[in-house]
Amino acid sequence: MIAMTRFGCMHARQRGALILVLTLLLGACASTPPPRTVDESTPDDVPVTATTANPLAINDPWEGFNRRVYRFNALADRYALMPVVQVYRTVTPGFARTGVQNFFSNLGEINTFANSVLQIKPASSAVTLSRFVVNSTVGLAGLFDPATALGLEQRNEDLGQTLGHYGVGAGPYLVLPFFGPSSLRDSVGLAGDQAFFYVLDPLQFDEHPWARVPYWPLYVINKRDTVNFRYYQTGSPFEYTLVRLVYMNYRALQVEE
Amino acid sequence: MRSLLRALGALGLLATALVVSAQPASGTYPIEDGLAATVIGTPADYKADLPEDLDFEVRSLEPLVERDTPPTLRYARPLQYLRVTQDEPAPLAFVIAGTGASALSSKCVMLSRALYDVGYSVACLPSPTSVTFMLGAAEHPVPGRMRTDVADLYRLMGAVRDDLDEQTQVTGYALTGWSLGATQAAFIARHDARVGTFGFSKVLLLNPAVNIWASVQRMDALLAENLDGGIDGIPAFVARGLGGLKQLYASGDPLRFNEDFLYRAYTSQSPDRADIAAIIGLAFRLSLANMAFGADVITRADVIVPRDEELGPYDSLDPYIQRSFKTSFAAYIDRLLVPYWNRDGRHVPRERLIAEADLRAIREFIVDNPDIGVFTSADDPILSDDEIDFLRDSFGERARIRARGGHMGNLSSQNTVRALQDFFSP
Repeated sequence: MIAMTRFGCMHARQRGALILVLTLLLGACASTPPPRTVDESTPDDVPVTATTANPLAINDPWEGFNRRVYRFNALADRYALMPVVQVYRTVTPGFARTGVQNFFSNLGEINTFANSVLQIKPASSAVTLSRFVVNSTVGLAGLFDPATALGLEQRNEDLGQTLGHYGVGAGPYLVLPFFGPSSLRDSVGLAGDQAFFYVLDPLQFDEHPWARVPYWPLYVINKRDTVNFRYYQTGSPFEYTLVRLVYMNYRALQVEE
Repeated sequence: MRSLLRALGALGLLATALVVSAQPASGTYPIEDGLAATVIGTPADYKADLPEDLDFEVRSLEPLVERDTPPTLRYARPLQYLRVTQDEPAPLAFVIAGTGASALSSKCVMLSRALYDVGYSVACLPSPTSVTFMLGAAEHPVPGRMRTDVADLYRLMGAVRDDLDEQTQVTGYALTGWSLGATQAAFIARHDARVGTFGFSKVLLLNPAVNIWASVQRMDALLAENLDGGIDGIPAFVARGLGGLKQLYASGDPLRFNEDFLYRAYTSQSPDRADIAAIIGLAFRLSLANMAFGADVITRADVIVPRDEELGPYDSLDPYIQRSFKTSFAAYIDRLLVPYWNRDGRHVPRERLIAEADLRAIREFIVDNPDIGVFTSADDPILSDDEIDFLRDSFGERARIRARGGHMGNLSSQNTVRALQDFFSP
């Protein structure tokens, strides 16, 4: 079944997509009354074949457009992004890449924290805040991640989940250029999260505009370096449909979490 | 996908923390059930420690056959394989992927790292059952006939050898493969013993099928007997799975998608064995659906997509997904494979197709060849007890048959990797 060059750094992540699918299925094993769908806003009289659990029932009215963007993303990935990431991996030692990854991950905690608060999730807010404080100080501005070693596991919240938390449905499936699979709701959320970062300006780009020069390229390269997904790695003619199934259900799970 | 991938990315950190805090495990592979082992794989504590920073290259080859690519399959172009080479003169090991797998499969990566670690350059090749191989390397793009699939693989191996950089010095050749790829490796080794192109110093079969048709019928049966409602029951099954996941994180286990999460879920939830069997059957059926759809479209067989339908590159495949998934292995043989081999002047009876794809057909070669070995598990669900006995008898001391491990569940465990590295050490 699925998501690579220096494959080495992917170790535990490399089987991600396959495992996600398997986990979705293995969850089947937990007993007790079978919930019909993960999305609690789905009315009880909707048959299971009409929920996101049915790969062919997912709301995708823009499939033709989405498939074109998916193809565009795959080609951009193969011919533009991955070659750059390749060079990055060759010239940067492993510990430095981990440092970069930790740095951006730590910055991301701000957004997770804001959305944890918006959803009134005390545990998630507290863990995320603690992580940010520990990693920003002891972890030297986020270059290291001592918080995880302390048992503070990273949470994941974003505006798309917050909207979902307050009852906004996912809307149609949508594939965004460069960003990849999304939904109408999650695209709005993504824009909101980016705007929040822009307004908050934690790195004070306003005062140090030159800092944007290394920041944005490194942001993109790190993102691609840490994401364990290769287009068409599943080898399946149905990859588009499989990714759509996993994305929509994974997001529904995250909203419920 | 962004956050999904972010979550997956976080796994790297988690893994680091686990490695730091992990106690050295006692060694023996822990999962007692063959089906569960097949699904879960190797928990982190039992995984072999392998070199991380290898310079893998995804190489693209010119197609080895003349063929127009149907627009709906153009994603599978070009013909790719995975390569990592030593700087010093070194032997080259070929790895042949299992059913449906491309050269980017995680098992390719794992095996390449294990072999590189003991001094090999490695080239991992896609399975003849993958769409990329069918398009770019298969003379006969309806996979399943051992003789022609092996001939195609052999030609691909030659092309991979010719693709080596000038500064890469190859001192010899070795061969391995997993699952279907292992069975094919045995046939390649025998072919090579006659032709003499490579002269493999070592050949290792990892969890091979003995009789291909018997093994895939067992996979089909796992699905038929354990998924309520058959393929139409998938939505209900997925919904139940999602519900199970909800319960898991409601009980305080954050969602993490790695083998340890699976293992914890397995040990804490004691899942229904039938559900695990259904998962294996489904994973196999996905590979089969890919292959059947590919073969049908390439040969215009009119079994899944109507012959007069011109599928564009961005057309929805929804109308054909269900039909592809409903193609059982028996249906694949009867509607695609046998008809293909009995038209356009070809006459290969069904019985011969089946008889060809059996390791017992080359038993003498196996018995007499001291350089060919096999690793498998007594509880591998693709094998019967008789077939295990056949492997034990014909490979003798060159068979490593563990009590546990399922179908490649223990492949990346410390013990298996150590045995594999010992086998390939000069």
